[in-house]
Amino acid sequence: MNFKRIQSIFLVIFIIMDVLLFLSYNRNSVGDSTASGSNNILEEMRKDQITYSKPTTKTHEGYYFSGNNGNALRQDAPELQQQDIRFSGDELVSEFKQPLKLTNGSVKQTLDKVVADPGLIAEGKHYSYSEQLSSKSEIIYVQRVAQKPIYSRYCQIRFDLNGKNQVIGYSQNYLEGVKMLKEASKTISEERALTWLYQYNEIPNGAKVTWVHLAYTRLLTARGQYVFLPTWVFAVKLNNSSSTILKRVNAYTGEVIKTGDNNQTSNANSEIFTLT
Amino acid sequence: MKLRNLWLPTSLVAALLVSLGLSGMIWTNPAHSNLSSRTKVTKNADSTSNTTFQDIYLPSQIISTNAAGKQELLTNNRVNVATDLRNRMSHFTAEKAKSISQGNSKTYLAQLKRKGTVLMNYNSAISVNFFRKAFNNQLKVPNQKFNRMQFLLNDPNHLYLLNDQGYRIVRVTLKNNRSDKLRHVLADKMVKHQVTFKLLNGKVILNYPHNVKLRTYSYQLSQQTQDYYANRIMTTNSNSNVQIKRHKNSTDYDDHGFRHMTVDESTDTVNFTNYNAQIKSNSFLQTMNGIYEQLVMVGMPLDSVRFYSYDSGSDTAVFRTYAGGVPVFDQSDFGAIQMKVLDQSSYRMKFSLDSLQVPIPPVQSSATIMSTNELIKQLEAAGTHESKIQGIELGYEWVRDKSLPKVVDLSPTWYVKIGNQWENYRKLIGQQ
Repeated sequence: MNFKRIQSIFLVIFIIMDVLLFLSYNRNSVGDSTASGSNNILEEMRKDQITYSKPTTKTHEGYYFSGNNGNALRQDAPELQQQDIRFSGDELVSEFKQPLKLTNGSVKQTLDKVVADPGLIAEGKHYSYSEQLSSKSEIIYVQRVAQKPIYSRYCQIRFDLNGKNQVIGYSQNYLEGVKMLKEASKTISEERALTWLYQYNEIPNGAKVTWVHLAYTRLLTARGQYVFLPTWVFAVKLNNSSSTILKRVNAYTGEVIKTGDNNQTSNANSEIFTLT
Repeated sequence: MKLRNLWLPTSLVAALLVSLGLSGMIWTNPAHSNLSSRTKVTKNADSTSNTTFQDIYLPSQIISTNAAGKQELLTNNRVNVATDLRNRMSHFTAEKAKSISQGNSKTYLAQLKRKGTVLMNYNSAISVNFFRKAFNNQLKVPNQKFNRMQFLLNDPNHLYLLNDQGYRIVRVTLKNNRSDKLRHVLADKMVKHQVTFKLLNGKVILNYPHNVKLRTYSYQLSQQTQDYYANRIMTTNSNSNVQIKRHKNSTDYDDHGFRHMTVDESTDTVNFTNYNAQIKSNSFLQTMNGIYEQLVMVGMPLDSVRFYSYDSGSDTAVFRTYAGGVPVFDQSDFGAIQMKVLDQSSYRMKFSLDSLQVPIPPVQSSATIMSTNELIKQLEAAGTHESKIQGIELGYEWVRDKSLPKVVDLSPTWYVKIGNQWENYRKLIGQQ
């Protein structure tokens, strides 16, 4: 009897101990995930009602490279047919003699054929369709280097649409003389770039990150050449606004790259689009 | 009846086992121990810097010798050859190692010139354990020092560990090695410079028999402020009473305890002493790992910085900025970072506030420099006798651009080691 009593007392004590130990273990593993950093920041972003799709943790490789808008388009221009051409600086501006009709579903297919035709578009094989940069009034093709798109107004084809869903013409910039300035190096992951952007206070509460791309953008101009580097480009849509602001994060260092004359604004739209 | 009697002891035993299990899990949980919480901190900081242990401790040169005996130094404009080789090397294992030769310079030189091989070189001897970590490899042979590793293109079952110190050659028998992976790396488009090995005053040097044409680089100079380091490394103690003393050309920071920092404003260099660190010096790997962790803790940009050499006599490691696989000299009088381990728990680190991060187009795309023989001839003519030369190395000279502000130009030139100091050859022949 007495022994049984001792046994039950021990049992109760051990069960209490188990519960306490279990709680302590659980708290530790929660603490663990806080320590791992970015998860916690993502959690914080959720609390600030920022919407985003789950970022990847994969790192990539990219280059620094330089190039400029040279003479290639002027040299190719005589080959182009069925259009009126003029140059505005280094930019080729063309108007089709016969507007191209687009049926809604096949914008990409129709224009892919046009871009691939050297009689219609010069150097077209270096460009590819960008759904994200395109809008209702403008279809944008971006130049590609080392398997990645360049998001920059210095290397795009912009097709102008009229109200009847017809392509009336285009303007084009072409980056030539591309030179790698340094061997390939590792970039940070999308998740890290997103958390940096948030920590630099670049994503306001309630905003939505609509898309994220790893693309080359221009960092600076030196010795007459544009210098590009891999960046994570984020499209941020503000809570009560219809416009989308593009922000870019240096994919090597995680810094937010500022745009403009005195590098004041983190809005990268003017670097990526030609604003009229 | 019997079951009822058993119920109490059984559940007691069960509860006891559960509590034992939980205690065990808590004890082994890394979040709990102090030691691992320290590694976690470094890990966090590490991911911001993006440069891993494996990146910073890459071999400094890759040299291939073809079947005809022609030797070439390999570089590549698109990828880092050493990283590529590391990532694509097969994960062989090995257990047997046999010493082949020792103390014979002729045999050693012949081994370096062996046909159909690839040599991976470090400037200073590393250990087998260190190699295993740097290459994520399972080379299980007795821990020993070597500074070159030689792979055989047509014999995947062996490799050689070579040590310039004592001309030691060790043959290792491998398992699971595939030489096709190595061939893949070599099949890439490379920039090749013809070289030969040569003994100069008992030291193995790389001889360039012809003029060498190398790429030039220009970089935007990134300069870290001293406040950044003052905040990062001087205010970590809870009693952060950092005393700041300004002198004419320098500023002293002292935390009245473990850390002291002096910033020399005339050379833009920092001299940092830490008396409270875990720098173990009983094994090469641990010392190097400790050094790496301290670099990450201090937080200088390490993008292009790599391990250059380690002198076991003075316990000093040197890290240099690298461009296209070639080290940069003249950044300061010690390289990019110099780390002197003082004892088990303290070290003195010198580093430059300047770093190279953003490359810009250079004025000229390449420059040509003379052959090694021509260099030795010119040095001789200027009064520097061959017997005084301790080493010769191809390097980039760090020069501030004259027309653009905050731009550094890197042009290739010869560096000669005399009196334990690397000097630009132009200084030795009186051109500078």
